[in-house]
Amino acid sequence: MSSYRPQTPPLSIAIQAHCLHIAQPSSTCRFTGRSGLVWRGGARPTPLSEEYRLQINYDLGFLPKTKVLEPELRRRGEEKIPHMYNQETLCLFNPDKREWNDQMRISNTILPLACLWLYFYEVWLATGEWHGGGDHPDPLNTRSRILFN
Amino acid sequence: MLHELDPMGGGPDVLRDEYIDQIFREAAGSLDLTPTQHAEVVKSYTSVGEWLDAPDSPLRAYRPLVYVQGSGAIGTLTKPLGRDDFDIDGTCVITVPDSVTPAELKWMIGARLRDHEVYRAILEEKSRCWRLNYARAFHLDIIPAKPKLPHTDLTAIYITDKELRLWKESDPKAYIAWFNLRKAVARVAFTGRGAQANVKPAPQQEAPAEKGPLPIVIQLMKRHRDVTFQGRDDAPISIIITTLAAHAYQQERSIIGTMRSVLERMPAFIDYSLGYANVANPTIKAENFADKWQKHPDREDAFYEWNEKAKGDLDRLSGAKGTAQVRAALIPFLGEKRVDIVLNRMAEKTNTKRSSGLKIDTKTGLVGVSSGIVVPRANFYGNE
Repeated sequence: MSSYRPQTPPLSIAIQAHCLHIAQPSSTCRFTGRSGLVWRGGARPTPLSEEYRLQINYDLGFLPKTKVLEPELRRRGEEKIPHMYNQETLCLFNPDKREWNDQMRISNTILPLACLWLYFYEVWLATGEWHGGGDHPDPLNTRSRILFN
Repeated sequence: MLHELDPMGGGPDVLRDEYIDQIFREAAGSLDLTPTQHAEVVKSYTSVGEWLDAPDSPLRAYRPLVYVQGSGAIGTLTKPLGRDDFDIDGTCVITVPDSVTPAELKWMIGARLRDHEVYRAILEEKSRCWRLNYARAFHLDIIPAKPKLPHTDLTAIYITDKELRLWKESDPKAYIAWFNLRKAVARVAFTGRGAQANVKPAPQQEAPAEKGPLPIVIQLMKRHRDVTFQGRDDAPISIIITTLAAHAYQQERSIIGTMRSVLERMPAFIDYSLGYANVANPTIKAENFADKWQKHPDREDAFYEWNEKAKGDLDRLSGAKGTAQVRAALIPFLGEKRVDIVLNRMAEKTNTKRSSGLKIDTKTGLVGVSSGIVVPRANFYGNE
């Protein structure tokens, strides 16, 4: 993990929580220990969508993990939902390209990306096509294995 | 380009309507000719006109004029269900002497078309017209006509009846002018300009973003009709839907608002004062577009059946929630394949917009809003 540490210090959990609250005043945020948070909020990617309940878990030194609490995400028959880790958390950025670091606000990065992910998920569920683009991990790359397993 | 939603601009119902408008606009665009196909259509009928009017053409003395009429001229052209070729209706007016019979007029035009190497190979004779079957994209029907009053500016023409025995009055240009007036009543009233009898013959094709709601609603209603009446022969004909819708239109701004109001009001414009259903041609009052209904009362019933179904389907779409319901509610309007094409295209456009700053309202999670957080550059990832 040492190679991943940025030059300047990370945004504190308090700042992240504050920004998330500003981004969505109706959301809730719970602190876990001294260096973590669990945020819960809602998202409706289109006016015709259902309201999704989202949870973001974040611990300093790790990448934020985003889950959809409800409604339960659905597969298309046997086909697995694209761009997820183990069909549990949403893969919103490519850790190999360092698209996220802990000086970024979750409210401005993870949250909008999760909404966009839901938007493309809905279209995929309807038509079977994923239009959001994205990368697929290199199985030999250790970073994603370490970060997500 | 997709229109941006304004989460502060109205309540949830307003946003829902705006989003359905986006879907409808995209759908109407996908049921229309592509710009390339449109250019081909213009080129085709222009070339036909030039061929009929060429220096060595026997028709040249009769001043042939070819123009597009009907749906191709008023922006309501709708891709047929399960086929790829559009029906484009064109008129060929030649100022022949009074002694020329309807059958002779048709023969004269056909003979000249047959003289052309390319047209000969794609020419097909229909009962009242000549059809040019261009590869895949469309076919052009050329309806033989002569001016009602030769050597005047009047647009009224005579066309032949199905049996090629009688002359039948028609005025496609006046219909186009009437329709254009109806679809933009406000603007015309504002500038104080009345209907122009001599409209430009070129078929217009406005970008779907600029097209007013009325032509879009007519396209969608025709498509809904096609989906509803698959395998049946009693479907309401396009000219009835178009004429009643144009009467019923009250300058609503939104597509869904127009469709709600037009579906509700259009039956009221069928005139029963003479004891039978009359959908008068607004430019030739004696012509009843619903004249077949007297011999086939099932077609009259079918019109009302379609109207009721469309209203119910629109209500279902307005109340749909979640992907599965929305997709199911769109199928009666577009057909299953077209729904997926439209939803996929909208998603592609949304994804393309990421490079120029796609915004998200983090309070609601709405994607593609006019003000919000710009989605950061990132690639979705994952082991699945």
